[in-house]
Formats: sequence, structure tokens, C-alpha cells
Amino acid sequence: MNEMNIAELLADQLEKLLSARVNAESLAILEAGGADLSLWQEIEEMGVADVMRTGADDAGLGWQDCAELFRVLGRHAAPLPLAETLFARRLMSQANLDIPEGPLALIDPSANADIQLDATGCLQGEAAMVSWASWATQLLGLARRGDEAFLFSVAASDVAARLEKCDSLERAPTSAVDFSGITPLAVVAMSDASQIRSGLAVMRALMISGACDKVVELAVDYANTRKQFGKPIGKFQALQHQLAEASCRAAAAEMAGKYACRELDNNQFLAGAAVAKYTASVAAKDVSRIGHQVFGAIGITDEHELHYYTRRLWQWRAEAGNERYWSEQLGNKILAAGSEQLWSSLTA
Amino acid sequence: MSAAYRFTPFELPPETVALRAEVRAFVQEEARQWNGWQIGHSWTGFDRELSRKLGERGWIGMTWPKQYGGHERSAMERYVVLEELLAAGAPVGAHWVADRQSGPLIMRLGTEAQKAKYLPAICRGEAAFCIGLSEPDAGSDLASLRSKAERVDGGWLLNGRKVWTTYAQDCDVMIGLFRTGFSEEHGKHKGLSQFLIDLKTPGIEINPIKDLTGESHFNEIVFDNVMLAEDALMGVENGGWAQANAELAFERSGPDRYLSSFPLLPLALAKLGESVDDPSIARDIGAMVAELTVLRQMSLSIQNQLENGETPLQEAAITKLLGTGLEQRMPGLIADIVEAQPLRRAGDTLSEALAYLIQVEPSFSLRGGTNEIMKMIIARGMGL
Repeated sequence: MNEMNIAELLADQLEKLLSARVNAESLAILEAGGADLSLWQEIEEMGVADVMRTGADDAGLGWQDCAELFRVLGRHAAPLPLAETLFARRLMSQANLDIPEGPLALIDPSANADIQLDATGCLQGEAAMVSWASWATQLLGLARRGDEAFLFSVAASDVAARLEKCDSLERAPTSAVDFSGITPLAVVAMSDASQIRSGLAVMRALMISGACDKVVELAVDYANTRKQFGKPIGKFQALQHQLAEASCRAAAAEMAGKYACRELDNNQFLAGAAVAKYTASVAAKDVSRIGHQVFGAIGITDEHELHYYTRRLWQWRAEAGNERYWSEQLGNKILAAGSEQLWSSLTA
Repeated sequence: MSAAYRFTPFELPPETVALRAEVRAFVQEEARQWNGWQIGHSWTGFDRELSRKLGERGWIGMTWPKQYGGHERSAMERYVVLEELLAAGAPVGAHWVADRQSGPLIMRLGTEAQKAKYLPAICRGEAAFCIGLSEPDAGSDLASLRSKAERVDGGWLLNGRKVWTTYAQDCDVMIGLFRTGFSEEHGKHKGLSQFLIDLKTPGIEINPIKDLTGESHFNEIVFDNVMLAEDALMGVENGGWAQANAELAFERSGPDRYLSSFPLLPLALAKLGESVDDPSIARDIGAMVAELTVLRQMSLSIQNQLENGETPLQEAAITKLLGTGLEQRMPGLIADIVEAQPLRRAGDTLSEALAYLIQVEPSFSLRGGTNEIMKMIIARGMGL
């Protein structure tokens, strides 16, 4: 069996599992602080959380192979840190670190996380928002010392008392974490630390694209069934045009995410991630707006499932750099390279 | 059920690298003689001399069989040639329509005689084609067109009126859509046929229509008892609607649907230099480049599907809607960023190109099917 087949098979299995197990009720339980660890156990038994590990005995799937997995997670607003764990296990395997049992948390370096590694080997500083910190067995992040960057891992037990719960828009378990004075389990120098920021951005972009597809799907179903003025509201051109626009945005986010995966697989970290997260963040904003417009008041209620997806779209848009952040990064790169390089870089 | 689109990243094969360099060098040399106003015209600039030169180099009809003057190269090699020409704003209008859709249509449905007559001339850059679709009372609602072709002894008799036909005054041949069947009997989409019309045929009167720039790129064409030979029929009698529609995935997904304003961007970067301290400028530039990157990927993905014999009409409509949206926004945005005055004959390439593009960008979301028609197609595909 070739690699693409493994990846497609896993995405399909994951799709089936999440379709059967995740719904408004299970999401409500998660958001109320409950944890369905049995679902995580099933995920582990599938082996899907390990497929991006890159050791000699590992599947070693790349970003392109796994694009659909991340999209499936987004489409179902998956109530578990599989995306984070996939990427974190990849980073740990690349750094030859021992990978612990259980889910992992990844600290987003672009979101108010200024963590230093001091001369004694202790961490100093805090991260304002770490998703799934309370579920993780270890937390992975980036620390700086002067111009150097280090990947560090911290045992959950060492920071358990320092987790300060915060309510993100997603309402998944999220905490502020103060790392000051903690000695990491492992510290590894990174020659190019930008891959963490870029990997997180592409991961979120793909999840946004999945969630956008879901919102468009829900809105189309609703427009075809809800009747006003004697006909389904989806027969009104004003609505058709809005939904067509939403569909365009979702398609662009998918294309951008998949393109960025290829860039990451080629060790090109900035441009692809910038394109993906810019495009997906714009899509997140537009698709959620149009989704709510189509649903009207019922879409604003707690009872309706729409908000499980739109709140995540708003959350993920802001995480790992929003469209302003990434367009500025990309724009600065283009400006620095100069006019002569523009077309060659677009067609490279 | 909502639509699941097929957008798959496609990497250009390595054999395109040398070709790209060759085209780029050629275009750079030619570009010395183009002013900004001309560059702004892009694929609506009409220059027979340039088309002949491109024909000599084998860059027209690239994918067609050698027996018809083609070069049997891949669709992706052709794509590289197109995007290099468009990125520089080359005036490729004299062969663009023939290379993009008329030639492929003749290849697909033409008789042996039609292929032999037209295709080699297109490949040499010597046969300029236009498309006769719109009429005074049939625009977006194209199927309601009324110009007639009647079967008579020895051929077809054409009567009626076409309008907005681009460069008809300079072109050699039109592929026109005419009513050949009664709409009551066939349904209005079914009684239509396509014809190959030599524009020198007696009875054809071409009246250029001045546009808002002061130039005349489109025309009104009157057909007054125009007699065509039997073999002017293109493809199947009364099958013209389906034939014209099959061209649309090609017409709507190419690089000409997102690069029309592109030449402004390198000109703007050159003007800005490297020290830009306003982050909003970096953001605007980054956003444009991100959108261009995604559109190029979408367009390449569609080319790849077309090459494999698929007809991704939904994907093409999406790409056209997003692509023309970008090329429409670019002139105004870039003028603001560089604080340039749009001026014709300013001696400044950027000002001149802006002067043309700011005036014509409203047409980008009209030509090839309006935004509203694209949204209708997309909505239908979504199951609405």
C-alpha cells in the first residue's frame, strides 16, 4: 500500500469515527468542561496520531498526505487535540525526543508567548493562551536565548498548578501558563524555528477550510428547507449569491491550505503558510458572516449547532496569526526581495 | 447537497523551466517598445506583428497536432507561455481568442477541410478570430438570441445583428452563434448553431463602438443576407449551445482571468523601493500576492483536469469570479498605495498603465460571463 492510500484511508476512518461520535451534545459536554477520553483512546488505537512522526520505523507522512486529516478535524470541530498532537509528535521525532503517551499541547509562538531560556536552563515567561494544556501529558513550545531558538518540552505535572483556565471563543480546554522557573524535560536548538509558527498556521488554515465547508453545507441545507414567502429561501437570488460567495471563500481556503502543505513538505516555511493562513482567515470571517445571515435568528441560539463551527472559525482566524499578520509578513518579504523578483517568486 | 470541488495542487513539470526562460527573454526584449497605456491592454492589445513572431517561435497552437501546424506540446507548457506573456502585459489580442477557444473548438468538432483551412493559419499568428455571441436583446440571457441562419440552396443565409464583438473590425474570422431552429419546437437552447464566418463576406457591416477610454475595441456587426457556403456550419446543426458551453471551462479558468492587472504590481514595487515603513502597504501587497498565488493554483488545477478530459465548470466559475475580483481591485488599490496619478502619456509607465486599467476594470467582471452569471452557476452546483 502506498503512502497516499494510507493517508486517504485514515482520513476516511477518521471521518466515519467523528461523524458517529461528535455532535452538538458531545461538543456541549466538552465546552462545559467534560472530557470524553474514550474518544481519544479510540483515536490512539487507530494509530492516526502517530502518522506524522519521522523516525525510521514511522509512517512519516508529510503535510500533503495529512491535509485531509486536518480538514476532517475542522469539519467536525473535533473535541480533542489530535491536530496539535500530530504536529507535536512530528516535531519531537524530528528532534529525537522521547514521545510520551497521551495528547500534547503546542504553544503558539505568535500569540503573546514570550518565553526565554535563561543561563541556568530554566524557562522564564508565560504563554497567554495554550489550547488543550489541561489534557496534555507534555507541553511543547519555543524558547529564546539571545538570537537562538530552542524547542522545549515541559511535563504537564510540572505546570499543573500553574494552569490558569481561560475561556476562548472555542471553549475547548485552554489555559494561560506561567513557565517561569520551570526546568524543561528537554531542550533542543532549532536552526529554523519558523517551522513551528508556519506549521501551526497551516494546520489552523486546513481546519478553517474544513469548518467553512461544514458551515456552507449547513447553510445550503437550511436554505433549501426553510420557507418564507411561500418558497424555500434558497430560491431567492440574494441568498444564492451570498452562498456562492461563501462557497468561493471555502474553496480558496482549501486550495491555499493544500498549496501550503506542499511548501512545508519542501521546507519552504514562510510564503506558503502566509498564503494559507491569510486566505483561510479571510474565509473564516466571510463564511461565518454569511452562514449566520442565512440562518437568521435561529443560528444565533445556543440550541442550534451552527455556533460550534462559527465560534471555532473566529477562534482559529485569530490563532497562529490572522490575515493582517500574515499579509504583512508576506508583503515585507516581497518588498525586501524587490520588483525584479516578484514574478519569478510567484512562478517558482 | 453542497458541492465538493476538486482543487488539487499541481506542480509544473521541470521541462517547463527552460521554456519559461526562453519566453521571458523574448518578452523582455519586445517590452522595450510598449508604453504603459499599451501594457494596460494586456490580452486586449491587438498587434499582428507580435502574434506572427510568437507563431514563428511555436508559441501559438502549442498543444495541437503537427499536421495542423501545431507543436504537440503539453497544456502546461502552453500555460507557461501564456502566463509569461500576460505578466508583462504583452499585446496578444490578435491570436488570443483563436488560441484559447476557436482553435480548440475547430480541433474538436471541425471537419477535415475546416481544420486544414484555419488551424495552420492560427498557428502562424495570421488568423485573428472573434466570437459572435451577444446581441442587442441577448446579453447574459444569451439563449434568447434572434440572429438567424436559414438553410438555403448551396448553403446558409444569415440575417441579424451581433454586438460587443471584440476586435471584429480587425479580425479575419468570427465564430458566431445563430438561431437555426424554431425555439418553440426545440426549446430556446436547442435551436442554435455555430458558424465559421469570414468577415470579408459581402453583406457584413462592421461598426466599431467607441468605449469610455476613447478607443474602439468592440463592435456592432450587421448581417444583411449574408450567404455562407454549406461547410460554414461548425459542428452539429442545432447543437451550438452545448458546443459553446463546453468552451467555457477553458475560457474562464485561464491566467487571463486573474493577471489582467498584474503588470501594475512590479511597477508599483519598483516605485516603492525596499524601504516602506507603512505596514498597511506591506499588508496590501502581501494580500494581493497571496490571492494571486491561490488563483494560480486553482487555475493550474483546472488546466490539469481539462487535460485529463474533465470539464470542471463549477471550479472554472469560482476561479473566474475570484480572479476577476482581484484584477478589478488591483488598479485602484495600487494607485492608492503608490499615490500615483493615472495619466495617459505621462512618460511614466505605471501612471499610463493605471490610466487605462482604472477605466476598463469594470469590464473584467462582464466579459466571459458576468459575476451574477458565475454566482448563478455556482449556486446551482451547490444544489440551491
